[in-house]
Parts: sequence; C-alpha cells; structure tokens
Amino acid sequence: MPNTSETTTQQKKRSSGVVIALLALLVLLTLLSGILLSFKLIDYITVDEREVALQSNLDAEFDLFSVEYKNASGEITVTGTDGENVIAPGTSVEYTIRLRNTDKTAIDYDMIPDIHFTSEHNIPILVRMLAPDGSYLVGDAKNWVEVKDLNSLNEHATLKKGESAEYTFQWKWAFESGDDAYDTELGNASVATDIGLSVAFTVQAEANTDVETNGGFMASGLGGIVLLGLLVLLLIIVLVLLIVYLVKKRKSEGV
Amino acid sequence: MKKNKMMRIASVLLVAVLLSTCAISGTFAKYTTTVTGEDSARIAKWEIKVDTFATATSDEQTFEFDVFNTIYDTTGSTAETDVATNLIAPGTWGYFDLVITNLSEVTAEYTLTLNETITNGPTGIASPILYSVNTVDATTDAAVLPAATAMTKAASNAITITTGSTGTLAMTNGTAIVRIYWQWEFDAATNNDTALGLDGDTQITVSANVVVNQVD
Repeated sequence: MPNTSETTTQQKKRSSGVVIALLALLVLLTLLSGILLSFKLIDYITVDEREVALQSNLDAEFDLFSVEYKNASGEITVTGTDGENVIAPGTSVEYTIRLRNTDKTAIDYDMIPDIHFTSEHNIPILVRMLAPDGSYLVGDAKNWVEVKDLNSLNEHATLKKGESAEYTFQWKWAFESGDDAYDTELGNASVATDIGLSVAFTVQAEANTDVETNGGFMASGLGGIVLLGLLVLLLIIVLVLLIVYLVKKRKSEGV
Repeated sequence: MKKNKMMRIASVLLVAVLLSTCAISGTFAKYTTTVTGEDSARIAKWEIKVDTFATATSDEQTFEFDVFNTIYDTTGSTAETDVATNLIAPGTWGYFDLVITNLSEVTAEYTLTLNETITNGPTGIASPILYSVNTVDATTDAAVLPAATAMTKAASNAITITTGSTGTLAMTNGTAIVRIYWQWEFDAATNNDTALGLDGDTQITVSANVVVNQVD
C-alpha cells in the first residue's frame, strides 16, 4: 500500500501532465490560427470565389425590351404574340441599370456589354449609354451609335461602401430610319425566321481594399484587423508567460 | 485550486484563439462577384395579306384585281343578261371586295388608290365609268349600288376617292373589307356612250394600289 505522500505526488504529476497537455493544445491551436491567417492573407492577395454584396436589378429581370409598345397617343401599336419581346420601327426604351454596393468595403467594377444577333441580319437599332454623372459613355447628346458599337464599352469605376450608381441605357429604332425597304424586309423575314438580338451587361466587381477609398484607417476596417492581430499576439505572449511560469513552479516544487 | 485556475485560463485562451481565428479569417477575404443582366427581343412580324393572295414578301407586291368579274344590271342586283359576257355597256355595274388583313405584330393603316386607263378608244372621249369605295363588315353583305351622285369619275386616269379609301388595321388579325363599286350609268346627263359603242374596241383597265404602312 503506497503511503499518503506518494499518492499526493502521483496525483500532482497527473494534474501537471493534464495542464501541460492543455497548454500544448493551446500552442497547437495558436499555431493553427496563425496558419489559417496565413492562408487568408494569401487569399487576400489573390482572389476567392466569395461574392461582394453588390445589389442591382441585373440579377433576374432586365427589361431592355418589351412585349408591347405604345405610341405618343398611348395606343398600343406593337405587340409580340405569345408574350415574346419584340422590336419594330418606331419603338424605343430607356432603361436604368442600378448598382448598389452593400458591402462593408468599396468595390471596383467593370461593366461589360455583350450583344448577340440571332441571325446575320443587321438590326438598325441605335443606342446610347450614360454614366451616373450624366456623361455619355456611348454616343452623345446628338448622335446615336449602332447597337454593335456598344461592344466597345468597358466601363471601370468604383463604388464606395453604401454607394449607388445608375447607368442609363437607351435604344431606339427610328420610325423613319431612311430605309423603309430594309425595315420591311426584316419584318417580312421575321414571319418565318427568328431575327432578333440579345443585350447583356455583365458587372464584374472586386473588393477595393484601398484605405483612402474606404474612408480612412478605422472606417476601412483595417483598424479592427490590427486590433485583432494585437489580440492574437497578446494571447501568444500570455501563453508563453504561462508556460514559463509553470516550468518555474515545477522546478521550485522540485517535481 | 491553482491548477483549476490554470485550466480556466487555458479554456478562456482556447476560446479566444478560436474566436480570433474565425474573425480574422472572415475579415481578410478579397471578394469578387459577377452579375449579368440580359434581355432579348426579336423583330416584330410584318405580314400583310391582300385578298386571298399570299402574304407580301417584299415592300411591293402585285395581286390580281378582277373588278369586272361580275357584271350586274343597273335595274337591280341581278347579273346583266342584256350585254354579252365579260363586256360592259351603259346600264351595267359591279363591285369587287378587296380583303386586306394585317397579321403583323404592329398596327397598320392602308390607303387604296384606283387608277383607270383607256386604250384603243376614240380620241378625246373620257371614260363613262363611276367609282366609289365603301368598307363592309363581310363579303357576304348585300351589294347595293350607290347613287351615281355619290360616285366619282376618273380625271386624267387617277380616280380620286377620299371616302372609304383609308383605314386602320389592328395588329395580329385586323381585317378591312373594301368594296369597290363601279357603274356605267344608263342615262347619264352627258355621255359619249354611242361613240364608245361605235368604236367597239375601247378597253378600260382599272388598277388598285394598296399601300399598307405601319402606324407609329
């Protein structure tokens, strides 16, 4: 039968072992957090697949074209059968593309148009595009350009946190385009063949981490990151101090 | 007791490390996104049919116009039996229904103009034929010869008829039935009927020009 002092010593050894194991675990976790942080820093330098909180009306419905069009008297003069969008001489639309940055940081974005024709026919619609400040990105106050020229647009801009931007896209098919015979030819050919076009606008956005763009050091969120970094550093220091303390204590107890 | 404190401190540290790891991992991400808005449309159909003839496939299309197909007696609405077949003479009349259908996806309007040409006739004698244009609801509607005073003679070939010669065609299936009447009065106030009859070779040709335009 072991005496009482031996039993106490053994219990102390077991307890110390548990504490050391826990401390070792903490060290491992600290290392792990450091590794994770490193990975995220690498992601930060490159690009990951997560989404910027960019709100717009681009996602689902994009009403550039219509099933029906009214004339100046309010009478419906163009209607697509079967609910299909159509275009015809004398029709036009002005559509506002709204972007809103709801993320915590600024975003840089590119707006890239993409025009596709469903046939080889040239469709004589003319377009213009206005930037949020009212300046013309495509065409100008007096001149419209062919729809295919819209492909040359590559708008690059920045939206600060919470900011919105509105682009105005305009198209028209002049009623008197100057070539009634061609307009008629298109209309006649459309009876048997699908002659049309699609217009797409793609907005590619990326977080802008520039401190100034994000309203300064604290407003940009970098202050918080630095504070968190300091917290992690503090935890590591505390861990080291704890280990040193325990080692010294064990030595002083002669264990 | 001291070791229990150590355990607590260690636990707090553990939680703190985990929380800070999560926080940092969520803060440093560089996000990207791509959103695309797209819309498409096709060209509205332009499909006009004149009478029973095939749909126009170009901006100019010729159709058959048989205005003298049926010849009636001006005394009523019965076929003329006192004049040889396919010939006209004083006291004859007739009509032709021109059915204009808009199968397009746009509203359209039509304008009908008639043109008359006399060939092989005696010099200086004008055509005795009167014309009028009316719209009717159906080709089966009874034909009623308009009063001569409501009809028009050709002047220098062109037949100017303002009433009933224009109209709107609703989109997708708008139809207008334009009835073109003609008449050779039996007892016209001034006429050259006898001269024309003696000539016996006078040819009267009537053409109809239907222009259908899209309504803005």
